[in-house]
Amino acid sequence: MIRNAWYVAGFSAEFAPDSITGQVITGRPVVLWRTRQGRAVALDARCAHKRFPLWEGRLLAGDVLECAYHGFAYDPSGKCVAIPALHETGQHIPRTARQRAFPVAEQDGVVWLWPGDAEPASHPPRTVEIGSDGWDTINTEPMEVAANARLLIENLFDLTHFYPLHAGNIGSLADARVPVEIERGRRDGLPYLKTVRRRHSFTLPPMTRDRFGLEVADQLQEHTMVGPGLFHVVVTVAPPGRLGTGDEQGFVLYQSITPRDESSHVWRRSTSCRSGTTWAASPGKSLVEAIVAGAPTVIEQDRWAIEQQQKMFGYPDDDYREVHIKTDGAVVMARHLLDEMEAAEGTAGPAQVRSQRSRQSSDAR
Amino acid sequence: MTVPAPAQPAVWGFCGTCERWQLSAAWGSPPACPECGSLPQPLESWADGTGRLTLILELALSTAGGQPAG
Repeated sequence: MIRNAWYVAGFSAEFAPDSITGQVITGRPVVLWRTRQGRAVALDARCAHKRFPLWEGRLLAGDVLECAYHGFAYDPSGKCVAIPALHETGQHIPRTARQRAFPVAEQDGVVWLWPGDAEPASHPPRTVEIGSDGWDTINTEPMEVAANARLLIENLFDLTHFYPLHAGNIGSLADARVPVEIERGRRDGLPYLKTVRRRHSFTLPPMTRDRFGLEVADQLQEHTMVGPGLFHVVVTVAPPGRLGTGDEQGFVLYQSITPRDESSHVWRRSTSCRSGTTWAASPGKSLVEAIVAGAPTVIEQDRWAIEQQQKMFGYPDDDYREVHIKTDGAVVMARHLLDEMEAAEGTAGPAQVRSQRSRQSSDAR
Repeated sequence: MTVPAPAQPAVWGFCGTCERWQLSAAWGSPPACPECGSLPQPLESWADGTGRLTLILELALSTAGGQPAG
C-alpha cells in the first residue's frame, strides 16, 4: 500500500463547518475538521492518551478538538492544549501528549491528504473542472468497495472488459477491440500513465448513443492515472469528421481511489460537462445529469467484478501465473508503476494484488 | 577520456511467443525478445522522457459484433 502520495479525503462540500470527519486512509485512522477560518486540518485519530477515536469528540472554541473519553484537547497542529484532570491538580501537560498532524491541501473543490511518512514531494494533482463556473459538475457520494485499490485501477485501465461486463450499456465487443495508444512519463513531478482510444465512424453502444443523441460518431477517449489516487477520464464525441469543431460533446470524469486498507478502498467520482450543455434527448435536462443518471449501473458492475476478484484472493493460489494478452499492456504497466512506488517506501502489500503476478510475467531486466 | 553512452532505458514490449509483457533495456536492434529471440509486437518507443506504444489488434470484427442475442 502506497502511503507517500496525495489521496482524496473528500470533496470540499463533505467538510462542513463545525463538523468532524473520521476516516481510515492507507491503514491510518485520521480525523479531519475545518478551523474557524475554514482551513481543513487532519490529525491521527487515535488519542495519545488511551487511543480513543478522536472523531467521537467535539470541537471547542479556539479550533480545539476534545477527546470524548478523558477530554484531552488538541489544536490543529496536534499539540495537546488541555487535560481536564491535570487542571485540577495544577500539573503540566506532558510533552508526549501530541497527535501527529497530516499534510492537507484543498484545491479545485477537493480536500487531499498525504498519509505518508515522507514529506510531500509535490502538490496534489489539479482537478480544475470541479467547482469551476465554466463547468457543470456532479460529485457522487463516496462508495465503499471491498477490494484492494489496485483492482479498481486495473479495471479503469482495462477497457477490454467493456464486453461482456458492460454489454448493453456502455460496452460492445467492437469497443473492446479499439486500438489503444499507451503513454507513460512524468508530469508536474508525478508519474502518469495514459491510454488514448480513437474511434472513427463508430456505432455507439446504447448508453453512449442515448447520452449524445448520435448513432454513429467519432470518439476520443483518454484515461490517465495521475499517481495512485486519481484517475482522469476525458471523453469527446462528435458526428464523423467533426471532432475539434463546435459539434463536439463530451465530459470529464475524475475518479479518486483512496485505500482504506489492503482489502478495501473508497471510490469517488466527479463528472463535469461544459456549462449549459443540454441533453440531446431532453433539452430541459443538462448533459451532466444525463451522464450521471446512467452511471450507477456501470459502477455497480465494476464494483461487483472487483469485489468478486478480491474474494478469490482469500484462497491459496501458489502455482498461479497470470495469463497476459496483448491488450493487458496498460494494466501491466500500471501495476509495475505502483510496484515501484511501493518498493521505494518499503510498503509492499499482499502478493495476490501486486508484485507476484507482475514479477512472474514482466520481470525488469 | 571516454564518455559513457547514456544507458538505454528499459521499455515495454509484448512477446507473443513467451506470452508476456516485459520491461527490458535489452531488446536490441533489430529488436528481439531477450528470452526467446522472437520479434516483440508491439515495442514501446522512448523519447524525451516519455514512452509510447500502440496496441493494434489483428482480429477481424464479425458483423454481429460477437454479442449474444438479447
